[in-house]
Amino acid sequence: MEKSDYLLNVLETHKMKKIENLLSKYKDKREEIKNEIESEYQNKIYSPFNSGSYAKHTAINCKFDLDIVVPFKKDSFNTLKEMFDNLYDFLIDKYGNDAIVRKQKVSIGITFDSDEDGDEIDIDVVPGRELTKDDYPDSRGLNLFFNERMGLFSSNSYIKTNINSQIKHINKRENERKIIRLLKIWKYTNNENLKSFLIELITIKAFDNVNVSGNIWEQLKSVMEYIKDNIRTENFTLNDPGNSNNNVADTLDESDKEYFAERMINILNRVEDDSENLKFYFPLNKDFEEDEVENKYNVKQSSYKNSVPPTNQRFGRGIE
Amino acid sequence: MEEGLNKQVLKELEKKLAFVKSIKNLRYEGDVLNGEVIFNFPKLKNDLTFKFEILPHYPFKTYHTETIRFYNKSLIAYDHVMEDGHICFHNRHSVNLKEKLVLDFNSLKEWIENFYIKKSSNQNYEHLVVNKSIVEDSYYAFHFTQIEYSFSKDEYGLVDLTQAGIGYYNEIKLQNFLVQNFKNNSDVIAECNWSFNIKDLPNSNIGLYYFLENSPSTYNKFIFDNWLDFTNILSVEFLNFLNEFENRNLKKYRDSKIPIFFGYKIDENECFWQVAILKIGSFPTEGVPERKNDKKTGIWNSQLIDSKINWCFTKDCSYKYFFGRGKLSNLITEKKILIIGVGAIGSIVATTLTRGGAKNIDFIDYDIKEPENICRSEYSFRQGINTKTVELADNLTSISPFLNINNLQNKYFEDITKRFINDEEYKLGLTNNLNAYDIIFDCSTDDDLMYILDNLKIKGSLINLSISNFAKELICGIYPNTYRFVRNQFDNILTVDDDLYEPIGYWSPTFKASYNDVNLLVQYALKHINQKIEENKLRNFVIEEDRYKNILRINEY
Repeated sequence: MEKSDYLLNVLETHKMKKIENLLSKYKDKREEIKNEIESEYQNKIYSPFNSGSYAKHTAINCKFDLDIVVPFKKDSFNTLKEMFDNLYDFLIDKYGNDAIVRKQKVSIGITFDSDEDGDEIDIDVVPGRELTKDDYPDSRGLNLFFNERMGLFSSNSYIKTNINSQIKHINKRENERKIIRLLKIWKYTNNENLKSFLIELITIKAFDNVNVSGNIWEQLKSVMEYIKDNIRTENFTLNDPGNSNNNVADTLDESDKEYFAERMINILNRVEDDSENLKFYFPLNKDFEEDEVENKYNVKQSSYKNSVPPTNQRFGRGIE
Repeated sequence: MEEGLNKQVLKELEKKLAFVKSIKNLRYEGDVLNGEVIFNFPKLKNDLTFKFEILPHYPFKTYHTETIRFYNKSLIAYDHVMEDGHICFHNRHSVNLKEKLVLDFNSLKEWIENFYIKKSSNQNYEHLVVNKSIVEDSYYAFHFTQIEYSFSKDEYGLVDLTQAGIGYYNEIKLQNFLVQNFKNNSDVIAECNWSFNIKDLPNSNIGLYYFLENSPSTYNKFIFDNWLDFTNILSVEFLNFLNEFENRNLKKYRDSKIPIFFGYKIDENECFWQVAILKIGSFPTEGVPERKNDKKTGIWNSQLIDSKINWCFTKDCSYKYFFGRGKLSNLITEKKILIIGVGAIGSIVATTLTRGGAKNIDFIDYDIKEPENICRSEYSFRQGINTKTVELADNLTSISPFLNINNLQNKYFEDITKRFINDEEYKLGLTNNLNAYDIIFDCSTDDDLMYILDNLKIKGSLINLSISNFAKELICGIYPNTYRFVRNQFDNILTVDDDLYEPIGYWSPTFKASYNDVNLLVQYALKHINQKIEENKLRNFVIEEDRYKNILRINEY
């Protein structure tokens, strides 16, 4: 198997353009929520803006986020908790009948009931407050509220960040985005519990620090090797482009880092054993695969003459 | 060949060992060399003499027993001394006669230092020495578990028993019984902790019990051998109860055998039972008139008579002893397990989990066992054609008295699952039913079922096991992603051999592999699963045989 051709096909079957209808429903909903928030909070906020993987061009069609960041003004609420709770109450009031609204780590998730096509729209709203009065238009800095514990950050604490800078950090990095998408396909299809933001940062850091070149498999391999070689090292940092004091690697504890490295080693070893193993770690999105079945098993072209069990049959019980 | 055993060798030994004062009275009785040894060394105040006998097998053991024995009946009260004065100690191995003599005499010296001079006592509970009796034509054995009830001194009542198999001990019939419960009058006060499959067996016999303060023994080592030894130990009330019991049953059950259980504490939490057999009509009691101030009161009481006690085998089969020599992780044995498909792989998995101490296993299969299945699965020929789940349940509950097999899911499981899987209500019901299990082994090798299960929201661990032709590989898929992983192996990775076995008479080719081939892989897989469940790191894996290096290799994914 030609690993690069396969991986390019994996990316192709996971492109967002494959789900344009669904995506436009998401966009419509996102605009509607933004409008509702703007008319509710008016002078208390600056213009809400888009974030999430779709905004960063790292989305894959089996798992993507369309987030809305709501920059609250410094004097809008006394505390970040009040801001968070107030927005939550508003969204419950507005959408509680048609959606499940829930508090998440730094955002409020809204999952709308399935529509007539069976599609569920899922939008996250991230409230943030400017750092000092009237500072936001220049700095774009925001304080985010931690509703739950995350890594070293306890619940009810907050973190300073700059989501605009985070989005810019990945701007025009097309090669990095491809590798990020592949690693996210691996994460999503194999139920790996890793933060996408961390995957983004470590991939970009790999490109910045080691020679990541060649075809897409060679690039992916270099990034995975970078992760396995570096994630467990002492003083390894992943600076949040939105706040250089925030080391995103701290969201992983020692065993998480060990696990991440082990996974990378495992993929590299198994693909080394047999490149066909790529198909397990980085599967095609079957919903958008080219239809090869007809060509493969078209009766008129078939060489099968007799009815025999397929050679790929599993055993262990049954007709014996 | 070295020099054999003779008197000269013993005389040389006497000179060699400084702690031996003399070895004397050497004589042969038949081919057994007898003699006496006198120990004397600084820590020993006085001479200490032992008789000894050396069998012609020496220095070899026979039937795991040493062929040199030392006796001193006056030491009977000391630890590790048997009723006939025989000293038990750990001998060391040697096939060299002279070396073995030195080792054995030294071992006896160590016993003298530890148990005679220092008067050490073994802290662990040791069974009483019980000479089991043949009653009429049989020995008897009673199996019990520890129970969640604390008996008080002199408490007595009835015991419900279930007849188990009949075995042979030294060519004599041995009748086995399981203790089900202890009763005070007709109220059950405590049940043995068997599985409910054992508890559901019918009670076949009754027995009596009496709880003692101390073990019924002399020197805490040798069980009483005469009923008179129980005088002043068993309460008058109990003896009168025995008398009434016998009289009540005399007419209908004369000569029937009744086991009587004597319980005693062996530590804070556990008790042990010794069982003697009584015969109705021959109870070891007699009536005596009660006297006060040398005058008969008119009341008759029972008292014990001079009569030999017929003791039986008793076994504490509590879970911790039953599986004391080795078991699987509690993270498996304490869980509710479902096995889907009990053919070659599934039946081996079920049997291994059972022998590994699993307490709850259910299984599903629609299939019938036929003679040609037996060569590589856990079924037997003598039961003939049989439903696999029925026969397996029978086999497994025969192995472990702690395995609960709650239900034998019906043969329609697979059909209904596939027919109604698009019905949301059915799907929810199926998911809920499966979520009653902590671990599900899918050994069905049914790709469609694997696909369906993989798409349900399963809370427990779902483990899919299958093998390739000739058992070259075992593939273990772990939920989620079972389907994708397993199919990728069979479709893209493994080199599959299509040389299948075709049974005569009908067209249903199957894989070629022996019990040894299949079992080897399944055992290795279960060992790996057991370890990874403990580490909470269970992942997809493939076991493959590297025939050039003669190893089995596990590749984790």
